[in-house]
Amino acid sequence: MTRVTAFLSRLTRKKPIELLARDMSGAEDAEHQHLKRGITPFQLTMFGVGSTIGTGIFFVLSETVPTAGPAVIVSFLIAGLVAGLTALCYAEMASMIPVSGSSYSYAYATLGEGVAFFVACCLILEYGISAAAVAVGWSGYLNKVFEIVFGAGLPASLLSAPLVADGYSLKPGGDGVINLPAVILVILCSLLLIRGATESAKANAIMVMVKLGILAMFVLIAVTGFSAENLKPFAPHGFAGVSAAAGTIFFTYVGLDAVSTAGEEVQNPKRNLPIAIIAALIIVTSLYVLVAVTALGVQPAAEFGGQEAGLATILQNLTGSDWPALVLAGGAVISVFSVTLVVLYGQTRILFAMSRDGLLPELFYRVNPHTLSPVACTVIVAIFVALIAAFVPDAVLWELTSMGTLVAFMVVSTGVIVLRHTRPDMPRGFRVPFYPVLPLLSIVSCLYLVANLNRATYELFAVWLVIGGIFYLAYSARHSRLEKKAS
Amino acid sequence: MKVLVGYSADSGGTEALALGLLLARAGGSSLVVCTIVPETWGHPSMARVDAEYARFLDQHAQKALEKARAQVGNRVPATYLCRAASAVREGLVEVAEQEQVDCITLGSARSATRGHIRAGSVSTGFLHTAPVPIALTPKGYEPDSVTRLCRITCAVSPAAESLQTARAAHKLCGRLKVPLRLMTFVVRDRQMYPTGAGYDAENLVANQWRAQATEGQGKIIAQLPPDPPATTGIADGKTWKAAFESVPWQSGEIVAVGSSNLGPLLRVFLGSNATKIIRHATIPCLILPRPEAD
Repeated sequence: MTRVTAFLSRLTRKKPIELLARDMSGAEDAEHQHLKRGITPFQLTMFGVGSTIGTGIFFVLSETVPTAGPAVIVSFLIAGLVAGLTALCYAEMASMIPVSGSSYSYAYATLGEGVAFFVACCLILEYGISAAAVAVGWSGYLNKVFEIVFGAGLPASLLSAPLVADGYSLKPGGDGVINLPAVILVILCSLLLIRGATESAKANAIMVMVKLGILAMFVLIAVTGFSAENLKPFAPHGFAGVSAAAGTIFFTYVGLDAVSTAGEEVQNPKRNLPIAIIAALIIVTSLYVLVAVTALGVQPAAEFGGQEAGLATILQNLTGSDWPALVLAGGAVISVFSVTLVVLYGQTRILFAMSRDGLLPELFYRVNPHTLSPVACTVIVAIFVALIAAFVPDAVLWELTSMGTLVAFMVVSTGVIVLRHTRPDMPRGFRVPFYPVLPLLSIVSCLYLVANLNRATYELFAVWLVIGGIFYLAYSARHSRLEKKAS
Repeated sequence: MKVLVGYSADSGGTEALALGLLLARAGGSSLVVCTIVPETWGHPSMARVDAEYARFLDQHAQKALEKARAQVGNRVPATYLCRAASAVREGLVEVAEQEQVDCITLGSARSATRGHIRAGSVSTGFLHTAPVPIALTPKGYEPDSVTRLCRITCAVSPAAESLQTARAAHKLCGRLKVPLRLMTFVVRDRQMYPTGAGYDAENLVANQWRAQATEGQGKIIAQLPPDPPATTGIADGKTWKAAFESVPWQSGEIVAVGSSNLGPLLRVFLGSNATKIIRHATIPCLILPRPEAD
């Protein structure tokens, strides 16, 4: 009995907010008592747009149009709505803590170690797996650039994964042997991270312009070949198809949490957080819908399936000339590169935070004295992500990312409701409007998208959680920094 | 401690000499003030224009050295040399070897911002080859007559080679009879925007680095002899400039940095972190050659 209660107390122990604040305090905080960086609402919107666009819109149509038909447009709207609801809930939780961390840190401080570890498992899917997925999509565009510039692309055996999704599991039988460009991208980004390269707010703004520019170019060119005939039948697989596609498409909205996580770093969070979330969401969703509508207007739904570097190929077929496709593919190569860098960075820093809390081995938080960055952690992440990108097909990765992100957000939305009851006194820089309707709606909508994901995704997710659970019991629970304090 | 001053008749020369004087006085040792002039063609030409040029160069050098003599006065024993060489660096290395000096001082490039160090063409070459420690001054370095060398701050990290650097600096402190301060830089300029891991994520890494640095300094101190005394400090800031400004610096203090272990043994070879320290320093910097391993 005592063992059970001891275990429960481990699962529910919370990281003191003072400790979290001390861990993440800046150089001048001691003197100035948290001198805020003061992110402006415009910058914050750019963060949201910058980290969201590039994670999926360039590749996702080839997977989802066969599922939903032209009604994929509705799927984009549904996924966007869910992303908005979850981002608002997340923003409330983030604003309860006076530092800006990941949902793992927030969960640890408010909901306890067990939930935090669970969220971290989901975040590894949101970051690690999505980095692999993005790298796979990138390799298609890189190959398109090669095809246009050199007249020939890489051999197919070096371009795609050897494994395919087969109902419940992965099995050999793919077209390729290894997805080499994806591996190279992951390695390149990791080397940059090891050297300490980062993207500044200014570089992000430039990237946003590049992405908006090439997508706007796509829309403007594609609209000239628009034919309403291509949109019929609008929903060949009915609403079931639309829902299934929405689950995968949610992947393209991963990154919107870059806004919510700013929490107290924003000037006047009460006003600016929702403004930035909604503004970023409107920009991203309208762009996605415009791209989807025009792409669907240009070619019949049947042609989307399996199309590599989809948007560039559409432009090529439409205009009969190479340069618009080259500009688009080149822009995609650059901007997806930056997204991969950002996502990999996020993954390494989340693992870093976990190991600092004692939930992962010390190796993950050692800072290398030459590069001044966590080299071992970055290398481990790079190997893990590169292997997945090399051998697992992208459709599986998108769904797994959606699964991890949706479940993490479900926990966060539930946490918002729980905390309103258990910690009503805690100051909140931002409170979700229409409480409790909005968080409930967020949970229900996440559940709805999760319900529409593949069985294979469920199985992989379950396996992953079991691995995580065993690791927690065998290592993390005993090595937690809170454990040492208690004893 | 014999100090070689790479002297020229401009502000850089004056700065280099001022630093040389500071070091020589601290060590109770002598100065070698050397000015390098271009080599002339060895063979007499028809109209003897080269001889005329050589005479001009010699006069110019003597005038420069005269100025140096006035600056030094009789505060330390000094020899004044003029050398002809095809490159300034080559000439100075030759003199350094002949005179068996312990250190070479050089001024900043003319293009440097006042108060900051920028290596000119001569120093840049030295920073990747010099056989003895190289000291660089910030632009406009002009300690007043009462200023004495009061401390050497050695930049260290928890990396293994830092112990060697600290030992070399400590030995130098012993000879110059000044205390040593070990300093590690924590610069928080690596936050990624945007990120889902939070906009304080990099502080977590920086704080861990700070903890490792403190631990590393403790280990180094434990392995240094007790005399001269050594203290520690952490320069912590959002940028290199802020980090530098976060700790007190005394006039009469110099910063010592070690060479990268990518370079050859017993040679100065500036690494990327040391380069950043020099770029942001507002006091003279001493770059130590890579020591032999234990």
